[in-house]
Amino acid sequence: MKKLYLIFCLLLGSPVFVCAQKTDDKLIDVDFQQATISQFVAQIESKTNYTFYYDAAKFDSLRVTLKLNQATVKKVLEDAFANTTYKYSITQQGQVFLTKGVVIQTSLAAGFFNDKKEVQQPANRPTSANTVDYTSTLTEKRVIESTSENKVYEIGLKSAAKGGSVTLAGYVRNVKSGEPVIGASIYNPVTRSGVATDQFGYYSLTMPQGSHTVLVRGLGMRDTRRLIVLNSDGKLNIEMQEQVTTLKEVKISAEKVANVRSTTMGMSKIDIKTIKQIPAVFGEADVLRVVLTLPGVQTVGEASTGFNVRGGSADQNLILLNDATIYNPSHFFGFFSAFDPDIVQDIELYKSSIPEKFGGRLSSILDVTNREGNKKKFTGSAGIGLLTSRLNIEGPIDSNRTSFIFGGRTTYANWLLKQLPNEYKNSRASFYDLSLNISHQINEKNNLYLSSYFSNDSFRLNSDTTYGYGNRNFSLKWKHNYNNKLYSVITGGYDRYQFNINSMLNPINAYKFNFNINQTNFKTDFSYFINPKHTLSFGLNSIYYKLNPGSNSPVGNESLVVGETVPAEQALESALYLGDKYNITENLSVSAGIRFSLFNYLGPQTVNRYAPGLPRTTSNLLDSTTYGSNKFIKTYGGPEIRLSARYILSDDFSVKAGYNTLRQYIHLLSNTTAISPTDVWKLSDPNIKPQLGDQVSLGFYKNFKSNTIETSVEVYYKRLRNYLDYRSGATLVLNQNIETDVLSTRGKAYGAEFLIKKTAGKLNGWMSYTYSRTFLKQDDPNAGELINNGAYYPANYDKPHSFNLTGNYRFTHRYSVSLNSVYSTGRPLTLPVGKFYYAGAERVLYSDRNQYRIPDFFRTDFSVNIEGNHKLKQRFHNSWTFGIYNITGRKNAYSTYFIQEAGRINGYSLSIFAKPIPFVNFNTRF
Amino acid sequence: MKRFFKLYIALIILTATACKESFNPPETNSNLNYLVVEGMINTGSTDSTIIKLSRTTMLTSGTTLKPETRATVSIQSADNVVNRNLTESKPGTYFSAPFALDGNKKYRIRIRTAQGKEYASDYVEVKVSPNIDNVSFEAQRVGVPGIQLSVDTRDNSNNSRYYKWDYVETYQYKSNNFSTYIVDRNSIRFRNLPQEDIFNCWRSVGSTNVILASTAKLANDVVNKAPLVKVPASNERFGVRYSIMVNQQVLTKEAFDFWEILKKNTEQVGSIFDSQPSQLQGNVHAVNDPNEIVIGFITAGTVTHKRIFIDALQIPEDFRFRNPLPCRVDTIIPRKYQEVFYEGGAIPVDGVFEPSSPEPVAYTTTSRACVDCTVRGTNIKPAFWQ
Repeated sequence: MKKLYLIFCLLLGSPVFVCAQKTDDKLIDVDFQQATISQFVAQIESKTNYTFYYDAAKFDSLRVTLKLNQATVKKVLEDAFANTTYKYSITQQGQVFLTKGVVIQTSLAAGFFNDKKEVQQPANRPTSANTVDYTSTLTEKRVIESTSENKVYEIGLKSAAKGGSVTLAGYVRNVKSGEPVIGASIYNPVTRSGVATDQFGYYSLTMPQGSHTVLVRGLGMRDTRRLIVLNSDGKLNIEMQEQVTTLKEVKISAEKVANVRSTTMGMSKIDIKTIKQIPAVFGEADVLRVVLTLPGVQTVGEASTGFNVRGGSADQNLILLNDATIYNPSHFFGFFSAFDPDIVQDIELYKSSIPEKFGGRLSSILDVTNREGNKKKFTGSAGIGLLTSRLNIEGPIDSNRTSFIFGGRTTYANWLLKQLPNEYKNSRASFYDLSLNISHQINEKNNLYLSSYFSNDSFRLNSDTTYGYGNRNFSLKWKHNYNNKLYSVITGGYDRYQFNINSMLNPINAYKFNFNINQTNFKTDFSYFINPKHTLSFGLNSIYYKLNPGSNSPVGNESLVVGETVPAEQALESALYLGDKYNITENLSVSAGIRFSLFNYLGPQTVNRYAPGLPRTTSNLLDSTTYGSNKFIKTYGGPEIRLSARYILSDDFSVKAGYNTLRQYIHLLSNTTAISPTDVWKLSDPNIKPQLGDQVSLGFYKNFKSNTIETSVEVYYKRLRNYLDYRSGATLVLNQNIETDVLSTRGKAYGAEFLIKKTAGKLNGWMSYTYSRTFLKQDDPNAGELINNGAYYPANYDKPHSFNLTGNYRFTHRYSVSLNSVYSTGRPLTLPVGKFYYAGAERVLYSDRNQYRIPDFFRTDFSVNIEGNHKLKQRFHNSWTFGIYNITGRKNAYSTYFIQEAGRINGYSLSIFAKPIPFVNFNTRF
Repeated sequence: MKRFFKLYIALIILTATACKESFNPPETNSNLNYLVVEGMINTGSTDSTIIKLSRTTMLTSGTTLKPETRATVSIQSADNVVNRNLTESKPGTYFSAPFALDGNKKYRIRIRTAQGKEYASDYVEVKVSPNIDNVSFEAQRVGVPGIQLSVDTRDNSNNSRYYKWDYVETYQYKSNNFSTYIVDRNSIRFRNLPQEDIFNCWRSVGSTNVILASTAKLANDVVNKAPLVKVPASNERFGVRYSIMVNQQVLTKEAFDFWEILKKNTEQVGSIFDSQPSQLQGNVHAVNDPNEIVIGFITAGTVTHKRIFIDALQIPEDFRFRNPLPCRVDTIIPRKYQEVFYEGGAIPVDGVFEPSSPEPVAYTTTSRACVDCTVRGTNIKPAFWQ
């Protein structure tokens, strides 16, 4: 408004329209303390007849500290603007125009009217007004919000400029929604220094004083840059535009911060846009299925819960959703992942260099981050598929400071179940999940994030046995910035996983079984950017576990089931960590961390002691000790090392190496090939030692074609200790002496992963080949019986060769096609090698464990994505996804099994998705 | 877990995409030829002790049973008082007439093969089976409709806890077509009934599944409706009259574990929600070679029996047997008698008459399975049949 006014008044102020108005040369007293332009102007206007005109945006970084007595307005302005690029000009009519860089001529050029009038001199001569202070050291410091690429932002206090390096920090946000842009890179091509924003969109970058151009690049965001003049430490928030793919896109990617430069290895990050491009079996974007396309990730079968990373078992993955531990990441036994694709922002999978702030699992960390709600307006989206529907709503609660995002999904598979043959006619299956996240900015230094997740699955088989399971998660996070270089995140949370089974069919045996695991978490994480050479991270994590291993109780009056409960287990897992990212030279950078983890098994509990050196059976039980509440029964602990180093060989070529050790104090008791939702967890105790693992890895990273093609080769060797296996015929549920049924196993895994990734252009995607082997060996001296005579045998998920191709081709910005192709060696299998006749029928004689393999796996999926028109102003933005899963219709064996039917042994192979499966999904945004 | 897997498979099927195909494992050339020992030492005074010895065979081999013949098998008591040899009644089956043994002692089986290798089981305790309370049946419409047979039993002393059952089903059934005539050398005459009856037959089928139940988790040692077998609706078993003989045995915990693993390994293994095949830990060992694998678990005790009869009229009409196909009947004229009846072995069903002749001018015939019930059973009425 003021700008228009300014132009209007410029016209008015021209001598042609000179009106009679007296200039006021009266002397005034002024006293400004860190005054903003509006305060500054208001004070002068109140004391004089002058009217000020200026563009507020241009003066946003100005702070005036000035005290003058009996000065003219001219003098005040002169002093206030000394040493700056701000100018002023005063008309005879008492109008004051404040500008930056140029001076408004308040009179026409000399001789314009052929008169000899003297032209007023622009009042821009610097004077020696030492009292002027353009400061940014205020407590209520305003952070510069930078939206323009072409404007020069001046940061910090010029007078405080003392040479050397200064730190710039701030948030990178989406200009449209105000959501943070996570993992955006801020890169200075001159100093070759760069950082990525953290989960809050926060960055901190140190560079020398002076003018810089920083390049900003975020996933799904339009590349941008900021011109800055750095005087001293300061803040700069950067707003980015969402990327709108144009028909003819010219990507300038020469300055991209490449994967080559980070010290992290064995890490994959995928944003939701990419996830949504990958065809999924029922058309709904599936986070976990995308994880399976990454090199080094295996699964025992399609549509099964759990995945295996670099030879680790499925319970060795820590799955985090906004820092909350998700114990079961899938619905429908693995048909759908538990994560709502509409509110997921991105996923990160750490396979090798696991940051020291994470711990507690041996194989990997899968960190799923949900979006923050739109801070500017209410929006939402909805999706309809054949089996599931979902809805998400987000918006501000109060403008720009608080926002929420809510997502819900549900299924309506019952209509399909009713189409089944009689045998399953009375079966029911349903699930739903709900997420609610609220983020609130208290002020520039403090942010609060609340996130919650609730899921529920329920199945009934022929109105007989009902299974139910669910996750409950809640966390509150407080982020505090102490200064540009140091911030902390304090998180408190509660996670729960539960399942229950009940059966009422036979009233005598009617029972209800319950299991649950509860953990209360407390975490503090500090990040400290000491200087360009050192970035420190340190903190403390603590988890209090309360695990109810199982309780079985009778249902109804007739039931003879004896109530039985395995006593609850309690434990405290704590860790203290310190890590330093040290840039030794321009080319060599080391990330070194240590995490000291401690596990206390707590009372109340009764612990059995067994005769040493003998098989651990109830007959070798020596005695048992009962401990009181919160007594420390057993403490395990030790340091975990996290080391990785990167050496840059050339601009787009680097080599990295890493070594890390991990400890895991919680075990999933499962002797089935795939884990199931009704497997119980067990804490380490005096008889069951924590699992230990270490891994050494080496990688080469090379980028081509201006960094648009990333390639990497990583090799690793990994060892596992104290992984659990089970005695023949072990009872894993409701076992009061579970230690007598478990055996400890050691494992080794090694492999090489090759990846080619194209990140830009009409055609993008990745292709990977992995060679990997995983072997287990049971050498527990207390086993009594040995699997395969104590020799190494391939683990269930040992699939030596694995090839993946995931690609997307965008014809126009409305039409794109995606292809996903998977090949892998079949998983190992224990096969019958003979048969015998027993109890009236043929029985099979099994080989040594896992000596054979099921046939190789191959599958290709294809989908077409059609976006609606791209008019900005429409109520609904619709899109369709059509596709075919398993387009070749290959009957991939999911399992093979041998059963005795009418006395004869018959072998079968079962395929799940044995035909091409078409799917369609409709999505809308509003 | 098996039920769990079934549900899982049901979910897959609901997408109508799952597919089950026959699978033949890769050939293995090694014939392991392990000794297989099956049986129980029957300490009761009415039942005989039967021990069966056989060898494992290759999976692809056509033979189901490879008996181990000419071995010496004996029952021995732990205190060496009892040492009783068994006699080989048929190849691989070693038999001893009923004789009561002291239930407080422990017994074992000792084997000496024809090659001279010595094997012995562990000494096992005697488990006395309580009487079977009841064998009942129920028409179930949930799932696959069928007649569910179940057993109830109890031990008021609460000592039994682990039960195993097997059964023999016997049923009477009828041919599709009643044959009035019989071929007698090169002529056709009336059939002599009941000796030459091929219309009414009985068939006996033994159980093939391992049926187990445990009451270890129950307050009282009561087994309520433990499922034995589910006969699908419209099965031939429920055409006329059906009988089931249930044999009950009580096991030790170790024996129960053995049977449970055997059951898991052969009846529900391979799906990814089932446990891995477990090693079958038997209690028979080679005397001189502890590493030699011997399959089998010898138990000792008594067996209790219960037989029930179910008349087809006792079950709901829609569960009864209905003849699946009408059998095609052909008429054979005299000049074809030689070819069809006398040499072809076809069975004449009815005569074709003309008003002019008291003798049939032709005979009808149909396929053997339609007219001759002895193809699948016996026309001799079992002694226990009521």
